[in-house]
Formats: sequence, C-alpha cells, structure tokens
Amino acid sequence: MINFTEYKEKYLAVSGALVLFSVLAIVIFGFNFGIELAGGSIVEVEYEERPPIEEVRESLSGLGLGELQVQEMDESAFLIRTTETDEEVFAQIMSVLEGEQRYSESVGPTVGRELRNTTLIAMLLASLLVIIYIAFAFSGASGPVSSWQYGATATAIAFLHDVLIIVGIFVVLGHFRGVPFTIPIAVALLTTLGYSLNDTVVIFDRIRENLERASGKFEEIVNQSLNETLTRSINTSLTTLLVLLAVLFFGGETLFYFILALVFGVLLGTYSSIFVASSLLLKWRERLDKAN
Amino acid sequence: MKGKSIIITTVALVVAILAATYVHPGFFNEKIERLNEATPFETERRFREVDFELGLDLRGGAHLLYQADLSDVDEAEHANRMRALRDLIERRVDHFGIGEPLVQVRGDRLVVELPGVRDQEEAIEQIGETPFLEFRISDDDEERLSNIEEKRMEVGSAIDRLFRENFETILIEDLTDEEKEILEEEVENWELAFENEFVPTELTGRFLQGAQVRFDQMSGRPAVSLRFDSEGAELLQEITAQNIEEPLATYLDGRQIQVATIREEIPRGEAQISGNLDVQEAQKLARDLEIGALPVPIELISQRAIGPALGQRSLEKSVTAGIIGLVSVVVFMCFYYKFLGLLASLSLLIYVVLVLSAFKLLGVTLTLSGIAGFVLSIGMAIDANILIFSRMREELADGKDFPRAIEDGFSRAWPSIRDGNLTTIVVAFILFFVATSFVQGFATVLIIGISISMFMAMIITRSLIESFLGTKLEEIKKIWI
Repeated sequence: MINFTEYKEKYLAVSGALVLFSVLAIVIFGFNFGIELAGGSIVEVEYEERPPIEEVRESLSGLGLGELQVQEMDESAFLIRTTETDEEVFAQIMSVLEGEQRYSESVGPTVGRELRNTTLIAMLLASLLVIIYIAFAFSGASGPVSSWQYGATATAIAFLHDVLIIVGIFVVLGHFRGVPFTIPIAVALLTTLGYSLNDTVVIFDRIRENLERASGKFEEIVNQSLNETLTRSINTSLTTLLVLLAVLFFGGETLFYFILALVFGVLLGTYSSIFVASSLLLKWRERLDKAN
Repeated sequence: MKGKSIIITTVALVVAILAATYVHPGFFNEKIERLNEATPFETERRFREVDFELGLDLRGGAHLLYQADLSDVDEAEHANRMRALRDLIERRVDHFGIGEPLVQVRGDRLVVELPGVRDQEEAIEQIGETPFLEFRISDDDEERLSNIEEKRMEVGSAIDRLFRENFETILIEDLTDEEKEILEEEVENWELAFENEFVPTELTGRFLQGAQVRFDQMSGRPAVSLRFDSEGAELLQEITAQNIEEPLATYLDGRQIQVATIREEIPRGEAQISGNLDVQEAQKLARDLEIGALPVPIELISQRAIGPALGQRSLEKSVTAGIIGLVSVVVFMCFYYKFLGLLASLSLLIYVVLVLSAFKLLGVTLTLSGIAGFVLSIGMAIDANILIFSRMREELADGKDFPRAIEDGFSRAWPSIRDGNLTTIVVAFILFFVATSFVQGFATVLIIGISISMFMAMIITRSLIESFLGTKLEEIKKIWI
C-alpha cells in the first residue's frame, strides 16, 4: 500500500505555489484574448515556399493596418493578426502577399464584447450548477467529515487549483509565445472542471464508503481509499490521454491549443484528485481537531 | 438472467451491423458487388448512401454574420422584417449556385453560411450591395427646412464644385478630408447642409413585388416601373393622397435618385422611377430591385472563410487522429483488462458505430470541434468500463464468485458513473449559450456521446460479459483478472 498522505504538506505547498504563480501571471501579464473575444481579424496565408517573416512584415507595413502581428504557423504558413475589421482588410492583405489565403476570420468589436460576456456567463452558470450538483451528491454523508466539507474541498480543488493553473499556463503562453486565449480554451476549462470534479468525487465516494464499513484512523482510511481507487484514476486518465494525445499530434494545427488545454486539464485533474484533494481534506480535519 | 443477456447481446450486434451499413454504406456496397461477381447470385440491391453533414471548417466555405439596423422599425415589426430579409438574402445566395447555403435569423442578426464558396469577397459584395430602396416626403418642419436651405447656400458658395452639383446626390461621406476642413473654416454648422430635407415614409423596398424597365411614352426615356404588394399599395395610396402637389423622393441606398411631384392619388400600387437613368442603369436597377431591395439595412459584423484545402486536410487529420486514439485505447484495454478489456473494446466499437449513425440520423453538423468532442467521448466512454472492471476485480479478490462480482461491480460503480456523466452533460448544455459553431459542435457531440455511452456501459457491456457465464471461459480465471 502506498502511503499517499505522508507528504501532504509538500503536495499542498507545491500546489499552493503553482496557484500563486498563476494568479501573479494573470495579474501581471493579463489575458491575450483571441479575436473572437477581443475583435479583430486573422488571415492564414499558405506558401509553397515560405518567404522570410521579415519580408512579409515589410510588405504589410505599408498598408497602414494599425496593430499588426505576423507569426509562423506549421511549416508552410503565416498567421497575420490585426485589430482592423473592415470588410476590405483581407483583400488588402492578400494584395501585397504572394501566398494563398487558406483561412480568414474577422470579428467586429461588438460581437467580440458579446462573446466575452456570454462565455463568462456560461462559465459562471455551469460552475454554479456543478456546485449544486456536487452538494446534492454529497448530501447525507456522515462521519468525521461533513457532507459540505467534501463538496467544498472537491469544488475548491477543481476551480482554484486545476482551472486557475491552466488559465495561468495560457496567460504565460499568451504573453511569451503569443498564444491567444480563445473560446475553445474556455470550453476546455469547463470540461476540465467536470473531469476534475468527477475524479475527486470517485475518490471521496470511496472514502465515505470505507468510513461506513471499516474502523480506524481517518488518515488510514483516506489512504486505503486512495490505494483502492488508484488503478481506476490512472487508467481513466491514461485512456483519456491516449485519445487526446492522438488528436494533439495528428489532429492538425487548428485544434492544438484546445487539446493542449484538455491535456493539462486531465493531468492536473488526476494529480489534484489523488494528491491535493485528500491532503486538503485531512488538513482541514486536523485543524478542526486542534480547535476542539 | 443469462438468456436475457444473450438476447440483448445478439440484438446489439445486429443493430450495430445495420448501423455500420448506414454509417459506411460504400464499404458494404463494394462487398455486394464482389459477391455479385464471384457467385452466380445477382442482386441490384444496395445500401442507401447518406452523407454526414459537414461543418464549414471541414468542407471549406464562408460564414458571414450581419447586423440588421432595426432602429427605424417598429418593435412589433422586427420579426417580420427579419424574416423578409432572410427570404431575400436566401434568394440572393441561391443565385451563387453553391451547395446548400444556410441563411438564419438570430434576433436582429442574420447568419449566412456559404459552403464551398471560393471568392468570399465577391459573395459579400453581392449580398451586401443589394440596393436599399426607400421613399421620402417633405419635412413639415418649416424652420428646419429653411435652416438647411440657408446652410446649403453658404456651403455651396464655399465650395464651387458642390454648388454645381445637386446636394441631394452628395452624401457627407463623399467629402474628402480636405473639403471638410475648408467647410469647417468657412461655414458654421456646415453639417446641416447635408441633412436631408425629406423624411422617411414607411414605404420601402420591402413591399416591392416587381420592377421592370419601361420607356416613357412621352419622352422615350428609360424608366423603371415598380409594382408593390397589397400592403405597399395601401401605403403608397395613403402617402400620395396626403401629399398631393408635394414632392415624393426616391432613395436608393441613402442616395436620392428622383424627386417627383405627386399629381394625384396612386391607388393600384404602381410607381415609376425615371430620374436621369440611361438604359443600362435602368436595367441594372430593375434587376437589382427585382431580385430584391433589402427590407432593412444590414452591416457585416463578422466573417470567416475556410479554404477548401484546409477543410479537407482538417477532416483527414482529425479522422486519422480519431482512429489512432481508438486503436490505442483498444490495445490498452485488451492488454490491461484481458478478456474483459476485449469485451469492453467490442462494446466501444458498437458505441462508435451507434454514435456515428446517430449523427447521420439526427442530421448533426460535424465540425472539427465536434470530432474532438467525439474522440474525447471515446476516452470518457471507456471510463465507465474501467470503473466497473476495477470494482469487479476487487470483488473477485474478496473471494466473491463470478456472477456476484459482476452484480456488485456494476451496482457499486453506477453512482460514480452517473455523477460523472451528468456533470459533463450539465456543462455541455450550458455551453449552448455561447453561440459559436465551435462550442455548439463540441457540446452537441458530447451530449449525444455521453448519453449513448452510459447505456453502452451499463447494458451492453454487462450483457456481453454475462453471456459468457456458465461457459468454459468462466472457469479460466486468468483471462478475467
């Protein structure tokens, strides 16, 4: 039997540091929203033989399109992003470039603002419903930990740990690598939320079940439960990771960051449900014991 | 118990094979042809070929979002106006000759999807540049009129060129920055000169039924005759009756093309635009009006175009990725859970076929995100099996006999499976609020996938396992755990 709870302080410290870094990154760097959320236009231009990026920048600089970014994309294309949303913007860009336009998207500022709002509302609403559901799932639990404590720990881990750290990762990627924060990433966050909660719920369910059957110290029962559910936790993550990695490596450029966010979600969700959630539950119990 | 399981298993397999012929009829039809050639039997029967509905990101095309300006329209009329706009744009895009265009009203917005369109700039031009026809009458506000008149004199003398041209045909947008600067210096409140002395009536191109080129009998000049529907005819009658000996101005896209004095009430809903049109202009105008003058002005607020090559490549890549993902999960399951894993893999394959046929049956539009959601759902579908099998192993290790272990494994794993899947379904439903095709494609597939996967894990996998109860295979413990 593996003693998971032995180093609970260390797990909590590592996770705490990650969360802190994420919060700092969000505060300092801020979001680099994609055009769907911020408004603007992007064009992907594909070349048979890609010219140097400076050349493209040079050709575009004469257009007076305001803020303009050029990035390399896979082996043969450039991604050009501008804040301009005029109907003519694509024609203008293509008029000075040799390559072929393979994708273009333009979102007006109003639509961008709206999507930002609806995405935020959808995320809040989904979170709220999930919390209510979790509260129900744990209602009626008895023993050393009350039902709301299970629920609160599981949700706190999913939201404040997994989701926040992924947001932090993408804020950093956005700042240093120009990876935009897009609606698909928000969707991946919500999916992670569900996944992580589910993972934690399975473990907590087992703790509850074992508390009813076995006697022993709370910490021992937690440990026993973690060991019993370990294969399931790892195998589930593994199968999910297998399909995600297949899409990440073979699914093409378009889905890359969406899938990457999901991969982080699965990894963090699994780690946190095994190591962090139960550590937190135990610490909480210890505090209460000391207080009494 | 076992008899029931064998029946369910048989039914599931038969349904799965039928579903497979529906999902991929080409494969089966090819086999029929082979059989026809190889055997003396001959059949003309083939499986019907039904295609998947592919989203724009997989087949290439343009997605346009228009904002309609309904500020001048009565609230109660909004829905009607938007419907008229949709019908009209639909007629326009039908002329492009591309496969299944989609025109949809969303509140005061219009979504236009043009699959396979090659030149999106051209398409946008043809949709947007349909003229907006309106009729205006004189303002009753005498003071405002005289103010406008006065400013026009001043502005006119400030810039000679403007003085020579008809003010009605110049819009403020037509002025160059330089001209604006001059006016700014010379004339106070110069913008007033470009205000319209006519006020809009309710009569617009929305009520138009037809337009034709005619030649004026007196002058022989070309003109466009207009025919309104009954509602438009009533409006025209009302307007003309109330404004006899007053001017009626015709505007196209905000530009005045004619001012005519109303001589008498026009009762039959017929009017004529003569303006200063030459034959070609008249023909173009009549054609544009015939195909449709826009019932409300629209503005393009968002657009997306996917090149056909990119769409094709995305489709191929995501299908490859899906197959690789599926195969690796099957390999893993068979390796780790042996015979149970094999049965779970079989039930996973049935799941894939059922979900794919559900997509066809329900006409779900598959997008790249939808395929991602489907691939993700494969991972999640297997999770239920893993939960159950882990439980079964524990129960068997506890010394329970095989039927008992199955019973307890399934019943104990159920709450976790239910909770996990329901939370995901709840999240997926909420995602529908975010009205982008990416999110909705993902959410739809996730909901369909998860619903079917719960059923698969609890019913089909279980029946598959129970079918082997009492057979020789049950005895060989090694292959089960």
